[in-house]
Amino acid sequence: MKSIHDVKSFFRSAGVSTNPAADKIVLSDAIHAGGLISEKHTAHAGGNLRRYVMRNGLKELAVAAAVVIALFVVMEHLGGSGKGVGLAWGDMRTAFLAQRWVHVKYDNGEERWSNLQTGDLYCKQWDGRCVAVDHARNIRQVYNPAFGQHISEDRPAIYRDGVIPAWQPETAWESVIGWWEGMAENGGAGNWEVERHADQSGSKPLARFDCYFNDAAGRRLLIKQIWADPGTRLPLMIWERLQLAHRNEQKRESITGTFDFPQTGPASLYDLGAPRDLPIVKSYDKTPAPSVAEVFEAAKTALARFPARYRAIVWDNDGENSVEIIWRDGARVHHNHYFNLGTDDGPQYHLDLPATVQEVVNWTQTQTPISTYMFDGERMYSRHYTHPAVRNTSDEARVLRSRDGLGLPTDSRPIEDQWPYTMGDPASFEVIADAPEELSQYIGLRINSGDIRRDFYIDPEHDYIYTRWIWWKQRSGQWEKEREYEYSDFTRLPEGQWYATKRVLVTYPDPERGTVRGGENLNIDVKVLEEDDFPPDVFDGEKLLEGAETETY
Amino acid sequence: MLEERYLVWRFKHGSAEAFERIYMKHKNDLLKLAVVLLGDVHAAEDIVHDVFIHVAGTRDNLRVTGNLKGLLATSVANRARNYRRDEYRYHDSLAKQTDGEPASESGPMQWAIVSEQLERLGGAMVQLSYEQREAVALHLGAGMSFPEIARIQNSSVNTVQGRCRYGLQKLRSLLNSEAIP
Repeated sequence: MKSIHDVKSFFRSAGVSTNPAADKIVLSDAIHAGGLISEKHTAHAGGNLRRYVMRNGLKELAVAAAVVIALFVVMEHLGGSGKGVGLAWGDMRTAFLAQRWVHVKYDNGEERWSNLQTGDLYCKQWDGRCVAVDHARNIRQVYNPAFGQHISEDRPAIYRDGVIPAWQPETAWESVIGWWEGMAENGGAGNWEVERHADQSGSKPLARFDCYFNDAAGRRLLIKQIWADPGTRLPLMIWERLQLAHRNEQKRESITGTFDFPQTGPASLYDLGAPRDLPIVKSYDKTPAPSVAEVFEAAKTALARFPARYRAIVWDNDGENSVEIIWRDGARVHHNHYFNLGTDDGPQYHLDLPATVQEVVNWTQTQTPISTYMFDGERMYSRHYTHPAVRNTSDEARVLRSRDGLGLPTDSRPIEDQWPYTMGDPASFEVIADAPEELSQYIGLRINSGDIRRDFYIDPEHDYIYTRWIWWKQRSGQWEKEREYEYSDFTRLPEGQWYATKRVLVTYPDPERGTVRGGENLNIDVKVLEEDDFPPDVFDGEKLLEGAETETY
Repeated sequence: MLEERYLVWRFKHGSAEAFERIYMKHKNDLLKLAVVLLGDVHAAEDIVHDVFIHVAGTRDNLRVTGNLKGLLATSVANRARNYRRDEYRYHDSLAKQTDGEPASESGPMQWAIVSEQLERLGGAMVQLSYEQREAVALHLGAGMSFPEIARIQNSSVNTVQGRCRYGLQKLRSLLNSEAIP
């Protein structure tokens, strides 16, 4: 070690490697914590949906509820009321009705319980999420460790006249097999088909139900199988193919569950592992303050008045980021994303800034996009291209069925982004009484959720677009800013609608996370279009897929 | 660089594959950084694990063209400093060292596999003052410039340069004396 130079060399060459098994654990934790999804599957919409939620904190509860609704749609399918089952075994049924619980435990750790006597449902998912449904009170509680430190509570069903029907006790067969049996007899419903087959375990005859899903590309995929003993009238085992998102998260292709029929089960969410000291955030039986309701009404009206057909261009003022071009025709969306590369990376891929809208458009016409996302009103398509200057880009496409284009990236909707609070429940908002002086001319609305707070300052002079959206996080009892969006430089379309042409985002340092101050500075331009102004095939998904490797499930 | 930009962009859009590649690209450097800052492999593993989890959860904060390696290294340095400030854990770690107990033990669940050279380096680094150690580690290990380190250490560039220079001299002296039987 003769010189400082030697020390430096010694430092740089001192190596570390890692245990691949532990790598998988660390990666799995991080991927799960970040809600990251494999790009190679349809449900990558889930990743974007989650990202949307994370950016728009208002929707956390709503999406948590949606996830749970989806879960229980499946659970209810598995455990339908059995109305389609013609039973001719009255005495046996009486005996079977003494069964109290059906419990299924999967080999990934997930467990579900249903109380045959009360209709209560409980579920503990592999990732720690838990759900409890109290049928008699029509209350559902959800604890999701990823959505902050609270338990959300809502009403899972809407009943005519608000009267909750008394639960009719079921047998395990009716609860679990009823839906399968009915589907098998009726040939299926929607995209689902169920077939009944004779199977056996050793010499014991079993009934097996195979459930198929017809995917967006018309393929018939075996999704679930369930085995039941017609002699004892009990379900035995279930196999479920995981969606690719969950396959990648869980590092497995499928899960298998086995049934048992205990006399006792969970009594509350806490029995499933939810911490007892968390606040319960209710999302029902709340009425918005009249002044808040008025703002929401006015904002929704303004958003509805915005032209349905337009081209929006969004580009970064700092010149080193991205360019987005979005065509909208009602629900239909076509979104191209481009990288504006530095001159060192290839002058032909560089856009000099500042640039006029026309210069931006001209530049995009000479470029390969990094990606295209498209929603044709029914299906969501995405395509990533092989970019000549960016290593490891590949030409691949995805397609999935989508409702309302939910799988689109957040930046596909630069206009809706100007009224994000309208996606929330007005009853959850309160008027900000202590607005800072520089924002006092705006309408301040606040929403709290545990240790998270969002403040909106809304400009009634500009169609109720927000001028400031501040994200707060409580740390050590103090509210600290996490990020701040500002819309400015409002302009009017020929028909009088307003939109902001500038958006500045500032993210604040977080000492816990080690994040530093950052942000972005965007330009937004909107051009109203007529039906004939759109580029040819801009909403044609099949054209978009041409020449690319396609995934659908 | 462009590849990283593309990876970050896909990661920001929720891609697990992109995150995995970012992880594979940076994990070793970050582990090494944490090991030389703390001299404790287990603590280093915890910190880097935590950094990846937080980065995955806060990807909206990333800029596509930002310095990802710098961000990750800063994050490790901040956490290492917080770890040291945690008196219980710090004293616990000191107690382990003063008791002659190895700061870390190999086991089947051990994540970082530290080379003999890095063990020697880590042993010498913990004898530097923390500020010197951090300056040297961020400069040599994370490739950060002196102004960048000055921002992290809330010090002047001259101070950081001095810490780095004196730190390296001491390190040379320590490693030389260690080489003598």
